Amino acid sequence: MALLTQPLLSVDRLSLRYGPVPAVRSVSFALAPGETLGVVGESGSGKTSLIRAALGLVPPTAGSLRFDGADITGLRGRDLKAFRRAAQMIFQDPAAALSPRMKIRDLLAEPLRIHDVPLAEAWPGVLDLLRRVGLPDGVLDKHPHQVSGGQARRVGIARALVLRPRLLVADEPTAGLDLSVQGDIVNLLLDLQRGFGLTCLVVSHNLDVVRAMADRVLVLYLGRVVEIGAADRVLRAPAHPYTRALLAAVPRFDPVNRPPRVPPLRGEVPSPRTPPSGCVFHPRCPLATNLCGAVEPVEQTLADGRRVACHTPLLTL
Amino acid sequence: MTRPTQDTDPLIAIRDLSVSFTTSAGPAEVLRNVTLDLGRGRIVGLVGESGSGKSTLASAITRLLPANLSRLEGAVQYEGRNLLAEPEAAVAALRGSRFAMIFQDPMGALNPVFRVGTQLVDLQRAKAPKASRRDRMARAVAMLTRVGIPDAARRIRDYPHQFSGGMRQRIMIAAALLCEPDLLIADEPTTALDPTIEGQIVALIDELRHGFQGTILLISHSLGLVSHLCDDVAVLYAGSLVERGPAAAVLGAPRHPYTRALLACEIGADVVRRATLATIHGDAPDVTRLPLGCVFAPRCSQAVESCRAAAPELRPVDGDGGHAAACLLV
Repeated sequence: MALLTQPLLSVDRLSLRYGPVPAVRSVSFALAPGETLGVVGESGSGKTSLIRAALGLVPPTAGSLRFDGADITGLRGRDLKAFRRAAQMIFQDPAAALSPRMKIRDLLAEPLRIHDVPLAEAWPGVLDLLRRVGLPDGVLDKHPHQVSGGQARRVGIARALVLRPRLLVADEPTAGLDLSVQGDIVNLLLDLQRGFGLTCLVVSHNLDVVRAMADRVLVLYLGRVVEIGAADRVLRAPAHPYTRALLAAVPRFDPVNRPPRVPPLRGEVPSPRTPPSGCVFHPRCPLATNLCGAVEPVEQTLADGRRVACHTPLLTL
Repeated sequence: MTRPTQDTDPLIAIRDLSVSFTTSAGPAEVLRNVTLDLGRGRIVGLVGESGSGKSTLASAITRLLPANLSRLEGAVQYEGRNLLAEPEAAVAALRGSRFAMIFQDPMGALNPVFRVGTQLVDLQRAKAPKASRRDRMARAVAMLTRVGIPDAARRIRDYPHQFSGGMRQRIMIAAALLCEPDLLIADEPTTALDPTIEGQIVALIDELRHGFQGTILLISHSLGLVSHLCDDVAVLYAGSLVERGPAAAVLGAPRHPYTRALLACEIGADVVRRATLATIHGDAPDVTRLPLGCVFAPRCSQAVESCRAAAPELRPVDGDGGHAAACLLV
C-alpha cells in the first residue's frame, strides 16, 4: 500500500534473539501518522518482544527502525532519549507499572523530571490531562493502590501522555478489566487519539478491542508476520488459516441459539527454540500440505493491499 | 444442546444467603439474601463483575470462607441438610468426594512437588478407598486421555510445571472428574488462558458434559463462554442476585436494567471501528457503604424515586418458567 505521507514509524526486517532463541523474525511494517495498528497473536507469538524492539527498549539483532524519517536503530543514550520521549507506552498491569511508594502526583511528574521539562511550566497541562482521562484532582495525593483498577489504568494512560508523545504503544490496554470498564478505556483511548493526533500501536489478545480501535492489524505467529492488512478486511475475511483460527477460537456471545462451534485450533504455539520446518504454523494448520512442511512460504501481497505468508491462503483476490 | 427444563428438586437450594466480612472500612456485605437453585445435571452460569460476590457464593456453598467472616446466614440445602449448619468436618468430607472445584490458576491448585500421577491417584482415595493403586493409576491415565493430554501414560509421571497452562487446566478438569462429583464448581476456568486454548477448554467442557451426571456451577465474566455452555444463568451485582433463569431467557430477553446494560457492553463482531462503545455510567457501589433501596439504582438510567426506598425482591417475570428479576420496574 502506497503511503501518501512519510510513515511515523517504520520497522524493516526487524529480528530479535534472546541468546539462541529467536523471538521476532524479520518483521516489517510501517505506521502512518494518526494510524492505529493492532498486533494480535497467542502468548508466545512474540507480541511483547516486537513492541519492546520497536520502542528501542531492546536493541534488535537485525533490521532497522526509522522514526519520523530518521534511523534510530541501535541509538543509545541521549539520542535514544529524544525518541523515547516521543514514543510512550501504556503497560498492561498498572499496579505493577506504577510504583506503590509514590503518590499519583509524583508518578505524573516523574516523566517530566526525567526529560528535564520544567515542572511549573508543564503542570497545568498535566492537570488538564488528568481531567481528560476522567480523574478527579483528588487522586493526586493518593497512592496507586488507593484507587480502583479502572482509575489506575487511567493514571497509566495519563502518565504516558504527560510528555505529549506522538506514538503511543498500548500493551493489552483492557486485559483484566470488567466488561463495563473495558468500553470506557477503549472510548478514552479513541478520544485521546483524536484529541492529540496520536499514532497508536495496540497489542491485545482481545480481537474485539482490536476491531474497535485499529485501522490495520498485524497477526503474529512464532515471531513472524503471517498476515497484515486493513483491520476490517483481515478480521472479516481472513486470508491466513491462523487468523481464521484466532477469530473462531473465542466463544462469541450468542444469546439465542448455540450454533455448532468451529473445531478449536489444535495444539499450542511451539517453542521458538525449535521452530517447525517449512511454514511454522503447519503442524496446527487444518489445510497444511506436504509443501507447507518443507518450504517456508514467501509473503505475497493481495489485491486489497494486505500481505499474507501462506502457501494456500483462504483468499487470493 | 439445551437440557430439559429444571425439575422441582434441585441438587443445591440456596435460600436467603447473606455473607459479610469484617474489613478495615467496616463490615462488607458481600452477599445479601441470595436465593438460587442449582438444578441436577445442569450447567449454571454465574455472571457478574469484579466484587459482585461470584466467588464468595461458590465459597459459601463449599464453606471455604476466609477467617474475617462476620455473618453467614440463610441456608444451602443439599440432600436434605443445611450445609451452613453442619459441623465443619461434615462439610470437609463432602469436598473432594461430592464437590469438586476448578480454579482460574491451575498451578496454584496442583502441588508442584508431586508428580501429576501421584496427585490424581491420591485424590481418588475419598471416592474409592478400596481400589488398588494400579487401578487408580489406570483410571487417571484414562481420564487424562479423555481430557486430551497426548501420551498420557508417559506424561502422568511428569510434574505440574512440565505442562503448559492449557494442559494444566485439562489436568485440573481430569482431577475434578475423577472425583465423580455431584457439583463441579469452575471459577473462571479459562480467564488465564489464550483465546485459542480457551476455545479448546470450552469444546472440552461441552464434550464432557454428555458423560457427566453432575451439576456444574460455572463462574465467568465471559458472556461468550456462558452463552455457549450454560443451561441457566444467574446475574450478581454488588452482592445481590438481580436476575436468574434459563440462559436463553436471561441472555436473550434480559429484564433487569443491569443485565441489559452489561450485555450491551459486549463488543459485537459487527462493531464499527472508532465508534463509541457502550459502557455503564459510574462505578459499582462499595459493599461497605451500600445505598438504600436497589443497589443498581445510582447507575440505572430508568431509576425512579421508589427504587431508592427499598431493595426489590426477585420476582418471576414469565409465570413459572423460572425467569425472575429483582427490579420494581419489570
